Amino acid sequence: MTETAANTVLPGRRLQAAREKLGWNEADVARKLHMSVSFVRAIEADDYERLPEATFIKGYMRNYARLLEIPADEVANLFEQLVDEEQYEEPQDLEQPASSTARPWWLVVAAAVLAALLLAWMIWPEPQAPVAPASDVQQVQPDNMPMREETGLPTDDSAALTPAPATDEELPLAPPAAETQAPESAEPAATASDRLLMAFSGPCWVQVLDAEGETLFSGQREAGAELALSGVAPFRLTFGNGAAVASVSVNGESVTLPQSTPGNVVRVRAP
Amino acid sequence: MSLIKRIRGMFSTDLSIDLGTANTLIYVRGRGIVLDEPSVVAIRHHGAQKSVAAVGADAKRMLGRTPGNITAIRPMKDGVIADFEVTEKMLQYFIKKVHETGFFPPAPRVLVCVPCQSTQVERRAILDSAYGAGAREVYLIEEPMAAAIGAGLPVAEAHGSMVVDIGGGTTEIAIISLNGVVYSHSLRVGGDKFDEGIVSFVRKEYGSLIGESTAERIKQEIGMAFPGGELREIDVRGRNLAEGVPRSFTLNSEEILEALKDPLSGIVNAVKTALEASPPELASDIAERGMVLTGGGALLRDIDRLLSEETGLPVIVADDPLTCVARGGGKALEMMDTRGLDLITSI
Repeated sequence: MTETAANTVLPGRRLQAAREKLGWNEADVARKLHMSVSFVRAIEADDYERLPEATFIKGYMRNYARLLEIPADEVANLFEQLVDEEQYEEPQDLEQPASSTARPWWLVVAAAVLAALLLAWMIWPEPQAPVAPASDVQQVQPDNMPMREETGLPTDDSAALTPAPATDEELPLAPPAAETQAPESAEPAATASDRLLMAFSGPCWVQVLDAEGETLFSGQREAGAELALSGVAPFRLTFGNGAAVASVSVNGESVTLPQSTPGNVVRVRAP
Repeated sequence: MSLIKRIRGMFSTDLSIDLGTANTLIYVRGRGIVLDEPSVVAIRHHGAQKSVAAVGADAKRMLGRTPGNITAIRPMKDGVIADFEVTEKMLQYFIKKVHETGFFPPAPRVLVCVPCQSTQVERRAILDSAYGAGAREVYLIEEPMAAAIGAGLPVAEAHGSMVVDIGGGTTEIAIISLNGVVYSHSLRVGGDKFDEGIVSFVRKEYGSLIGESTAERIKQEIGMAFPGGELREIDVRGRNLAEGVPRSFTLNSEEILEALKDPLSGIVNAVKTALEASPPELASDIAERGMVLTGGGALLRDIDRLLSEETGLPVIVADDPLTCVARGGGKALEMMDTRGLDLITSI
């Protein structure tokens, strides 16, 4: 057999060479293999586009090779190498990356982290309000303040009574709702009007809760600093260092602090 | 589903089980075929109590060689469960074996292949024994469908694909198109019937008795299904019935062909019936491409030539025919996750 390098590489060419050596024509082979002549030609031409799936092609080649009495596995292997190179859809290729086996462990780790976070959230103390940026006078507003804009504007009678939108801009410091004859719908704004002013003579840790127990402020103030808050009275104040509190007033009325306790911590209700 | 099973499921891998009459194969997603053992269980009796002495290959070596207090059982017969409890024990052992490193007892999702004409009772038995063996979820798939997927046939396309799966207990013939079985037939003829044919042939012709394991070895080494192939011979020892002592004799391929004539003609007739019953469009697809043989029976020499000559169609043997069903089941599990439950059969 005069086989060139190309003949040994392409399985179809190898089959064709073997067939020609036996002196058979394509029709003989097609009849013996019970296949159509066009399939035999496609196999010999290694034209896999005209043939069914790789499983079939490999099977046909095996049968063909056996008919020609040349080693069937050799031809099939040649085809396999060829399809591997061409990335032909290969039924044997079942090995998947190990991601699917690794997944359960990921799930477990994720579940453990989630459980730990949940536990931490449950036993952690009350979340504290964010500390406002340091400045000499602090204005911290409770969350329900923005509601004023909604409640003040749409109702017809409130608009008739007060020029509400105009006063809105000065709101945080000068609560107008108390003075104006606000309708019932503006109630949250009216109650959020109490003003708390504190002055400090030394560094002191402060926490202020409003009537509903919401934290208005929590943080440390330095000597000489002032803290102005508005919210719903009565306030509950806690000072880490009672001696460092110079003055406390609610709506202009000063509040007297009790005697400093041994730990210097002072808790007071104002007014 | 209990919470504990679900947690245990996190430590288990999806399995595809080819619970065959002769061999049980387990395919694990991402790892390939991890277990291929004979479906044999050896049971030790302590009075009324029973315990499992060995499973799989160890038990098969005991088959026909056991002392009085041990019985080696093949719990599957003709593709279905013959002994429910023993099958459950066997599955339990195999599932545990493929999860060797696990800390928890495994609770995998399992896909089991069932013969396509098995009854509801038989399917329920397989389902229950898989649950009994610790599975978290059990799906059933018809064997020829799994075989076709494993062989790489285009089951999802509007093309008729014919697959003949010759297993240990049954031969499954199916025509598949668009992810569904158009025609199927299950024949209780398979490797076991070939072995029985050889045993009875030897008894008749040589007046000697051989065991099933010997018959299987004869079939594998010199068996052939179509005349004209290479003539092979094998030396066999069996107990002579007349003299009562073991005698040695030589068998050749032609004799085995004669011994296998009956079961083979059963398969050929069933294939012809399937072709007759197939809708014309699908029949033309099959005539063009041919049929695919899978299962251990496809390894019988020249069985493809026999079917090809008898039907006049191209017949090809799938790659690695023994593992086609288990591999196909594994692929079906993957497809199930991406495409839904198309391929899975219900009870």
